[in-house]
Amino acid sequence: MKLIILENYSQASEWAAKYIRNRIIQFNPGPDKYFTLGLPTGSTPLGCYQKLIEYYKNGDLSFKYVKTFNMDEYVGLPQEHPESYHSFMWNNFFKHIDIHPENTHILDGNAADLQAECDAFEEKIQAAGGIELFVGGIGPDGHIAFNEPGSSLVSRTRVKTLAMDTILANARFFDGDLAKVPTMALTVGVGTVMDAREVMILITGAHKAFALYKAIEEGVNHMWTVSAFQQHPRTVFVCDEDATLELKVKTVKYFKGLMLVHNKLVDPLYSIKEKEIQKSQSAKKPYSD
Amino acid sequence: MMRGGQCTAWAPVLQFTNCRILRGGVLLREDLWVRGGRILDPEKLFFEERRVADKQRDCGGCILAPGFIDVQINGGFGVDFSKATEDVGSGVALVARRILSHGVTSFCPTLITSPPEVYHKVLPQISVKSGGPHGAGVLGHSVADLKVAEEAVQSGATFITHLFNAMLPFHHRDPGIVGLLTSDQVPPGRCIFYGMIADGIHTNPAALRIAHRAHPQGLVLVTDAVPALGLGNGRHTLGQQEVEVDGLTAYVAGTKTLSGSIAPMDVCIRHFLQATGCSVELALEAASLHPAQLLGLEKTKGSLDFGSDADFVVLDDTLHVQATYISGELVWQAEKAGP
Repeated sequence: MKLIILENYSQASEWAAKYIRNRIIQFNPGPDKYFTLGLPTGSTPLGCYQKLIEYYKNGDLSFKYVKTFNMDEYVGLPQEHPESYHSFMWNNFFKHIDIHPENTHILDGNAADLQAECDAFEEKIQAAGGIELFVGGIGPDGHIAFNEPGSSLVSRTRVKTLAMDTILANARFFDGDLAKVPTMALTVGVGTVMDAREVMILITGAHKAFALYKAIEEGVNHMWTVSAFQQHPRTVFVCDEDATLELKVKTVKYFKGLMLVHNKLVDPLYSIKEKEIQKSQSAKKPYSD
Repeated sequence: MMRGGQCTAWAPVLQFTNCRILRGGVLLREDLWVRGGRILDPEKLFFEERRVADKQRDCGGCILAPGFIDVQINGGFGVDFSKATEDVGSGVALVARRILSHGVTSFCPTLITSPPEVYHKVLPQISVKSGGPHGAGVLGHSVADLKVAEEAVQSGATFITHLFNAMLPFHHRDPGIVGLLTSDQVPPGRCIFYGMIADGIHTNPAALRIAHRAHPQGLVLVTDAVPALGLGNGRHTLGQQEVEVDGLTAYVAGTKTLSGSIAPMDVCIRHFLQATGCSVELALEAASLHPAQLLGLEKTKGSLDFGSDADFVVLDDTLHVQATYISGELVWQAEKAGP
């Protein structure tokens, strides 16, 4: 894995957004070659979404040839409910960028047959050629998406009952009333995310520190499902200082020392504007070895 | 102009961008989406219909407010709604078209107290009519000079006409009609609305502030405009009276008694804002949402909520009207200054 440690939430969000931007632009997506992006919800990725929106508004990035697949959605919550993940994605991302609605995919928590909806989602991912980069977060109980402690590490998209920890963590979005929080959700499985060609996990804040410790310094364990990514060939963990509070000093020093190398992934920062300039100048490209 | 119905699914979707819209009592940095003459929910369009806008219009950072509703306007541009003629309809239509430039998208032609023969001749010629490029919508007529007291409220009266004007002044042992603003005799669930002419002449700014602070949610800005609105200085006819116009003031000819206002609605809003120091949102609601609530039309008029009629006005930061839209169609536009 690459463990990227930034000073604070804002810098971590920006690093992550730059990484996603570079990945999309270097992939060079087009009408026959979409960039498939897996996306999370929650407070952690908000800063990252804001930066991505900024890059779009500045003309440096386009989502025209990007297909998105969200990780999860509550069961039984109307799609227009302000706390549904559909609303979250619309308000915090989709409405601000140039993505076409048909290229976005979010599980439907009100489908008549929930498992069929989950199976269809897996098929849509397959049909799109698999996920190029899956962005996720981590719960305080170390879960990825809604793969609560005890979830199979080879699980696929399915219905899950939420753990009490998760319900408590989400209560703040439902007026602090536990009775209003949905108890079930549709979620991609650990296996589904593992199938992605690359995984990026965003972890910020001291309340996530213990989960990060369990995920990367202890063994692979279905009680801390993010630990499964120790066995993925290409995982990037992006965190702030506070999230590293439970890690060994040795671990933190080692990865901070690698920042010089890791920063090359975001610097130089590419832009679609340059690509247009490059295309028009390609005939006059000077010789270089 | 057709509105609503199942056929709108195929109508083009318009997206007004780069603007601040008045919604939920707040100016939000949001786009306004319109289809089939109604305000559209873009989230539903995105997830359920998987569609994007067909056309986008950049509003240059302007404010988009619900179209203004004037519930007390006696005429204008030489037209007198209380005059018993054979062709009241043309007069109404003329005013309807000219007030679009003031940001008014719906109005109630008002008749002043007149002999019964006048009512019998005029009222049947005033019909409810949708707005459009031809002019603002007619919501029905109103009659001025109601004598309202608490018993009247109990019997159903809901609107105090031009508070402070043509009524006895407030007295601390006999508040009179003004006391209705904070009356505890109003039946629950009812709101007392009161019209105010904020033209800078009819009501002292301090009086505007007192009324606004006592009962802000009931305040309805009205023009109480007379036929001289939009005409120049000089002598003009209003009902059974002759009036003399001098600048922004109209008097009963030969006296110093005020005879109705000639300030357009947008002038009233700006003056109200400046005199009371209230929020822009409340000033705009006083000319749109509150009159709609008074008339029981708030589900379709007076707001930019999803499903409402797409009647709105584009304003710059000083609340000057830049453009007026009815059913999502541009019906008036200010001339652009410069190249």
